[in-house]
Amino acid sequence: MKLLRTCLAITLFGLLCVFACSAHAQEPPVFYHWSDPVRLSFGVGGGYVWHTGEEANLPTTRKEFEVGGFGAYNIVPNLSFAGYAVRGFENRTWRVGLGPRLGVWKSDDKNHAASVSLRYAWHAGPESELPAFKHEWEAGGEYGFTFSPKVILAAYSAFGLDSHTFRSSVGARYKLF
Amino acid sequence: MPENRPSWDDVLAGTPLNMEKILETIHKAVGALPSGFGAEELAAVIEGNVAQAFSIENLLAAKAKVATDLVAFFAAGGSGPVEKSPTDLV
Repeated sequence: MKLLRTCLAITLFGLLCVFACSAHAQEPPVFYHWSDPVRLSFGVGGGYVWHTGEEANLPTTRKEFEVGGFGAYNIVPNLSFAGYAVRGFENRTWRVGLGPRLGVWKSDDKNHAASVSLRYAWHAGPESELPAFKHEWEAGGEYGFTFSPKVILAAYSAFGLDSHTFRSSVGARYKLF
Repeated sequence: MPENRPSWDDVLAGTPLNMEKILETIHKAVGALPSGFGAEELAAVIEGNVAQAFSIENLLAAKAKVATDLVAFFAAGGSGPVEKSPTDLV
């Protein structure tokens, strides 16, 4: 009888441990106020960019390296407001873009992710190097891979809704925060 | 609205096509690297992921989830969970 009680006690203790662990695993997510700086991300980086599409609307320099800053504000888990400011090495023009970004897929380990975005882009710099449409809406697709905690490998393609041209790029970002 | 603005069908049809060009470039870049870094394996993983990620089903599912999350976000007085993504800085 004493042995049975001991076995029951051990079983009960084991079950309690299992329940405690599962309760711990299902902790409610931490809520952050909209103004909390934890929602912000910022990084610097660059890549190789090339332009294709409607011949008449393509910029003079069609392939080049560019560098700049990239930032985002996470609104809800699959939606961010993202922006960038980059400068081309050869064409010496600035391009600035701003708009919402919808996450469509993430790998199980969350290191690979894909998103689609809509953003407004402005170009500024030497007149001879500017594209036919100096500002326009762009629709795009992005892919990011967290290579290390601070380094993201990036690829994107964006389609200018007025110019009918694609801008595509592969590169890397160094995450500052 | 300018007359030459494309339809959403053009946009949706065009973006994945250009993603193929991105993959082609990744392949070329990987081919130019010395072997042994695991770059070939990474390129294969990315290619598989891109094919899986950019689907209308995923897009609609993400849109529905975001709509639900936004309602919860505003109902909670402008607060909620934060989940950053590698694509935030792309």
